[in-house]
Amino acid sequence: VNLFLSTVASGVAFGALYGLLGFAIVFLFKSTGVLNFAEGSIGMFVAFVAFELMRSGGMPTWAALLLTVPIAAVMGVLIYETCIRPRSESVPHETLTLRTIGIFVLVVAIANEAFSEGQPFPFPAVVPEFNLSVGFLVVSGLDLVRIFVAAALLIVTALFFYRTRYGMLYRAMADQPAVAQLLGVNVRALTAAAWGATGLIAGLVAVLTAPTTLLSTSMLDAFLPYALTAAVIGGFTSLFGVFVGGVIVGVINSLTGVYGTFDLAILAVFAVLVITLLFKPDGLFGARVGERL
Amino acid sequence: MRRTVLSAGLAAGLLCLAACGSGEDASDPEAGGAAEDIRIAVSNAMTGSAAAGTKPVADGLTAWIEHVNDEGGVNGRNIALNVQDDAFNATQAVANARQFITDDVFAVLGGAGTPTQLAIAPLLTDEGIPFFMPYAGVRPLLEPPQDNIFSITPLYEDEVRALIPYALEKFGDGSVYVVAQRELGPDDSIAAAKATAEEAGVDYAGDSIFNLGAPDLSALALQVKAAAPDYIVLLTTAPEGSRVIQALAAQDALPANKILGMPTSTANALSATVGEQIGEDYVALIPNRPVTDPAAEDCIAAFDAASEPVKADVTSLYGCAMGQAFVHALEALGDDITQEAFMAEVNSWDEEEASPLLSPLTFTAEDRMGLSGMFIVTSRGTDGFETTDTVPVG
Repeated sequence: VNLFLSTVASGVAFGALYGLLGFAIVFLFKSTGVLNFAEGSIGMFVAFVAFELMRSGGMPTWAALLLTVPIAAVMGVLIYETCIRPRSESVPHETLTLRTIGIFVLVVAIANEAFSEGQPFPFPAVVPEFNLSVGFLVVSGLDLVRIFVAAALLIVTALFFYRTRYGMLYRAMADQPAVAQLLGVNVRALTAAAWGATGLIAGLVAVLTAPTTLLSTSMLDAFLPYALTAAVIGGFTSLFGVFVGGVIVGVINSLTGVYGTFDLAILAVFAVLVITLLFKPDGLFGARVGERL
Repeated sequence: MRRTVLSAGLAAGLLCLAACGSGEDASDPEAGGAAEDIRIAVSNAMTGSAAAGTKPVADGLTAWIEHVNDEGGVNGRNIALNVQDDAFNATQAVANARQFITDDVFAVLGGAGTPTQLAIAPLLTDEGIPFFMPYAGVRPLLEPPQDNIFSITPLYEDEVRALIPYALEKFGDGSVYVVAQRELGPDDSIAAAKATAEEAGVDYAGDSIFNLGAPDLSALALQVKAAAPDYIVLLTTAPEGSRVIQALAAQDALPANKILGMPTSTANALSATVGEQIGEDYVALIPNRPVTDPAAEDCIAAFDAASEPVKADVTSLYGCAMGQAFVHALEALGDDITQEAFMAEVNSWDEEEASPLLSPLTFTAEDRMGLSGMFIVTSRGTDGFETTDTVPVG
């Protein structure tokens, strides 16, 4: 029982990370219709910036992380303005999604050139190290922070999307961008803000992950398929669903890893992905999107 | 008309060929000298997730070759070293090896990376190119024996057979668990660990195999924690080993006694990353002496003097030792520097002191792993490793 509980707890904590990264992807997709494959690499880059501020700049951890937050947002906006927005008016969202694969490769290549010597690096946790131990069960303070951040983000964005004017504009923009623009919505500013916000979330995921996985240029590469799986299971249009999907992925991965093998864990997670796509393609909480022909 | 055009084309082609051929000599005054260089090559992971543990091997070799060239080369000839990055990717390593063959290199020296070195070995054997000290301890490199392959890395299972009894004798009996990375082909090593534990009369507590870059290692840590072993054999690369130790520490799952490291996991990158967690409880087997050994002085001096200074650590010293042994063999050839003479020379080694960092080397037609003994090192927290003992292997 102890091992089972520990496994579930660990799965939930990692599932929160998959959910967070998936959330950034779904948020952008919901707002702009673009699936951003570069989300993890943006987060990784931001974490390296924070690390360099600490290592070379001698900044205390809290100051470096605080400074990194706006940097992450600026990076998101810059990527949008330089790589996504130019010549985007007449191309479909799929083309812009393909551009994000190029951005992923570019960001990783730059990070490899700039930061990779001697990786992986130990990365300080955002909270002082402490463990809650009850017999066999150990839950770290960082795990609790991950779960808390995921829950807080969910509540804040739900309020934003459904209780604020800007949230409504985002939803209008995602559903009918052309109509929204005709009605005076500043699509460019809102899209840039969405890229900034998701850059920030990706940075948050990276600094919450790096203390456990260690900081390296490939640290979030393997997270992306899990985050996308979380989004598919939860429903690509549901901000709430992606967190549930993340927890499902995390727990399945942990349970099959502990009681089976790691190869079986990979198989199990992606079997759930295929089954979801076959039998519930809109995910557990997603809505079917109709398209007028 | 057609014949005229054909003839003109042929003539133009011949002229172009002649021009290209003579142009090279005329435009490059160093060409003659360059032809005299002894061209060698390495395919090594210089970037990517394994690079922290593998790049120092190529860096150490590069620094030593630069030192040799600065001292006048080998019998008056410089060594031209071509290091190509394979990013721990077997396909890229094969592409590198094909380029080496096209470049007609004299020898390929061992980069670090089990899947990569394994992938290029057959190509080099087919071409009869010496493959000197590949840093990978897997059976296909040694069996069937090939007279162009000179390894100083015992099979991982032989290392396990040497390390476990040593630890049990030195630190007391206890259960043994293996944590292994899929890419290092761990099945034989796991079987060896199980057999060795049973022969020694201790419990074999189990094993976990994971893949490079697996995002969540906490499940692995929980498996280990449930087994509560006294010893963990760590068959991983250094970066992945760091992640495993980090995950074990987070779950309070570090072994009761020692972590038993393999050469692949033992690099200063590991102690720099998780030195605080391992303290002095990481004991490993490595092919060469570490930085703290006086025998490392020449290499360290070369590292400091290199155009791009190299940090001395366990793995960069492996690269240096490889360079020392290679140059030692070349020096014995005099002016007869041919691949055949080189292979005949190294194949004649019997307890040869080829590098002060290595135990004596012996190569026979049947045994292509030349190392007679390995060094036991113990971690010193974040300060790297110290030699504490030696053990015979093979």
